Amino acid sequence: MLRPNHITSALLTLLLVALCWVLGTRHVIGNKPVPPLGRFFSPQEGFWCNATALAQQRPAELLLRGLSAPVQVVWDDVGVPHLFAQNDTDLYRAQGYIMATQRLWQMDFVARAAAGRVSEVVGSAALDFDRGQRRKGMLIGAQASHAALMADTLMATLLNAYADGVNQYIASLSHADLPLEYKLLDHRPEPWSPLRSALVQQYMVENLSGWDRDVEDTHVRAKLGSVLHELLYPARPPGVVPTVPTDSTWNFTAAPTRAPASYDAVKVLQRDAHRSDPTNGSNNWAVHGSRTAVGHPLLANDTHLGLNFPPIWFPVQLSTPEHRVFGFTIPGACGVIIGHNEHAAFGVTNAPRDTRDWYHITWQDDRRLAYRDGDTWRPATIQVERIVVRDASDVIDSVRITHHGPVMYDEHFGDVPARAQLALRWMGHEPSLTQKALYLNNRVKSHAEHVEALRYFSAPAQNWVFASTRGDISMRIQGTFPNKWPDQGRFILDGADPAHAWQGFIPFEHTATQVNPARGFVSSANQHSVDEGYPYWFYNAHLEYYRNRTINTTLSEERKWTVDDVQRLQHSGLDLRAREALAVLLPLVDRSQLDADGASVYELLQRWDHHARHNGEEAALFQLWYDSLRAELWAPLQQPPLAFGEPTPYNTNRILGDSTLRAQVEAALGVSVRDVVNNTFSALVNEREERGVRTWGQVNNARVIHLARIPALSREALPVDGCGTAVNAQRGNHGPSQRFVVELSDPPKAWFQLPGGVSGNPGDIHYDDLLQEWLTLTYRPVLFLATAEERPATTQLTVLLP
Amino acid sequence: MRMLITIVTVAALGAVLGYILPFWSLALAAAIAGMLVRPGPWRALMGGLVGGAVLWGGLAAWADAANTGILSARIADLFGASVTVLKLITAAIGGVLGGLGCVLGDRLRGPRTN
Repeated sequence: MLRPNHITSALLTLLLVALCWVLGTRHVIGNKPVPPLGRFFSPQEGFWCNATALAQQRPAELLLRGLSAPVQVVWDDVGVPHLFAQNDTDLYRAQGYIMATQRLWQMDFVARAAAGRVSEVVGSAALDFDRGQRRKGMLIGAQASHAALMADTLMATLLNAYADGVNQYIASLSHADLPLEYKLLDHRPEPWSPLRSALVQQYMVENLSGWDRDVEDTHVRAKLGSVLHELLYPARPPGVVPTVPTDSTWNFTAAPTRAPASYDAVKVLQRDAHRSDPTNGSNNWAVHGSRTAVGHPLLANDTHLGLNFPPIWFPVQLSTPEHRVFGFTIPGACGVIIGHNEHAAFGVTNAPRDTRDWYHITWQDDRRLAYRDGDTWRPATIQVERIVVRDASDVIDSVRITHHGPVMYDEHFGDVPARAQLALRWMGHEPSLTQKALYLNNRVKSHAEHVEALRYFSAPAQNWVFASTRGDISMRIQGTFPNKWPDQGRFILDGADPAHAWQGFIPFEHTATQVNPARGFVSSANQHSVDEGYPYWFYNAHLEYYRNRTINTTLSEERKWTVDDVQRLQHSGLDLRAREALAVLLPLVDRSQLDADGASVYELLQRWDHHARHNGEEAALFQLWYDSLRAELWAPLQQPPLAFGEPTPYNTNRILGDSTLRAQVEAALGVSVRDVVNNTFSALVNEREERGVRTWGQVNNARVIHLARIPALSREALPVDGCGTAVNAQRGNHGPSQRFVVELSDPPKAWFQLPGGVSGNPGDIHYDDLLQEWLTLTYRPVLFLATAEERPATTQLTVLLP
Repeated sequence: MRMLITIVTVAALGAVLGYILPFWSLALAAAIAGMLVRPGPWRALMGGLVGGAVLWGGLAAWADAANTGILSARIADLFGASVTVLKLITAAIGGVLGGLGCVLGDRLRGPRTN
């Protein structure tokens, strides 16, 4: 018989089970996801388990199956691992394992983002992003590279070993051991694979070559004509020396292209959805030993990318009996990308080059099964994408694939009334053996070997700086580039016209390279790669105009360069853009109309030395004024349905500084430059009176933000000098994502900075312990160990046993 | 005395099971403790609550001290709370699981005959 206390017990059991369910389940409350609170707060499996003890004791021994011999891992004072393996396969198996111990969530998430699978974790907020990733063919590119890598016996072995290392770490994890982000977002790590390594590389290709303005330029030309287009958006305005200038003549002639008889860009209206940041760029240079105090070359590299926790870069030393290299890798990649070994140092900046074109597709009928290619109709492949969306039902998207590439924009995706059918042709879709290039380059002993290693480096195109202990310095603009006829792909191309298709690639032997030039240095800062002397047509929509000139001017100074000088140049906050703009703008201000406040602002700007200091007001005043001035001046170009985009600061200054060009623009756009200058200047003065004085630090808000955009795991309002157009290219959440300087003595000596830390764990002292050095511009000497046995007493040793 | 035994048993069993099973094992541990000790409903509730709270709060405080509060400050920021509140929430969840579990265990075993 059922007694009352049985009922109470049953109810109590029910209550307890219900409570455990509530505490063990992720909930969405008011659009905000809340992690399973019981799990999250449990000190035995929740976030408290990620609170690493400050006096961290690394395990002395760990098991890593598949090794042929033990691998020693020396952890230095800031947690940088130094790996010593007996052969390459062991080395990369260990690299995969060690990388996962430090950055598992990051590599997993980046590979996921590259494949367009973020909605699975965060829900419908990421749906458009995911659809865009799939429609632009991120997976197509990664799969092509993966197939090429797997066909290469060596790379297949190494990438599989790396993946196995990652997976052995994942398999060893209990819920308590999971990185914090998995607990917060309530998901699990996915097994690693060589395809996911290819996806990480694809992510970088997109990051560094995922911007163009073909659609805008097409529209500008259609609306304003080619004369005004060239004036406002010139392909290459004068005044900048390219990365590799034509010193004498090139010893080759260009492979031929067949240009169509006429090139009327297809006129379409269409707005792009997601593009990467065009200012992703970097600085690098090398000074020849004849111009340095020590007599050896000096090499410097700092890469400007999004500033994130965990940082995009991971410092590591990798060694076998055959080689040892220290440098920066990206979690998911084998080997290092930027670094030095015993014989040479190497680094990269992004090489701006248009490797991404849009083809207008003419469909046979509304079913969109076949499209015109010359005189024939060609069938399209339909790829069905199923996107898993958390807390919602799956979304099906179908993407048409043409021989030009996937149709990214059609009536189902895009953002404008008049829709177009645009297919993307992109170097990112081509198979890439870039991983093999990194492998070979880590082991180079000479410039000749460096060039041979780069034979496999196809994307993302980079300006490779190189210096060796033998004394050579060089700059090589490496990537695989489509060989285009002039203006091909600057505007929307006609997918139906075979003459508009890509016609082949520039041969490796015709790569722009500079070795030991007479000026005694090589440098690059994302300016245009080559000048008109180069036999091939060069174009990119976004070029750099300021950092490169500051660097080249400084490097041209007559002096014996020291490591200190090179480091100081990396920190230069000189804003040439401000200097050149103010030289034109201040004389246009009507000073007779200024009140006392106006006069003091004017004087501040006039006396400014154009160095962007975070605790000064001048850079803030300039930036606020210049932004509003450009917005007002170019407002006539920003009419819907498609904004043309603002002419660059460099071209704005060029036009404003030339009375003929200025008059031409005033007539065409119906604006008065003098009025715009004076209106915006008085608005600036008024705003300053109302809001009070603001420093550049307040306006710039330098910050390092967590990859999942979690403010509590980020650092804001950092006291940093510099600005986007200074060598110290610090702009908001974007800036020098590492700094690296190498003296090519024997063996080389190196120094580095990293805005963050080695560990991806917010509960680890090494999560952000290097940030302070980055903030104070202090370099940390690289510990370049010959053997694990010579490690300093302050380091710790873990041996990975087979 | 029975109260103290209850607290210690809940905490000890909770600690052991918690390293093998998910967070709900604390309720299970407390129920087993309640069945073994049979402290009576009131002492079961209080003993389980204190035992669970001491275990979770104590482990959290221990981890936090070794970490010098690096992580707890960030998590506190994330929840818009203080570190103390964070520890209190941890202890409270532990307490509720321990208390209810222990009462249930005590009931399932029935009242003591002597």
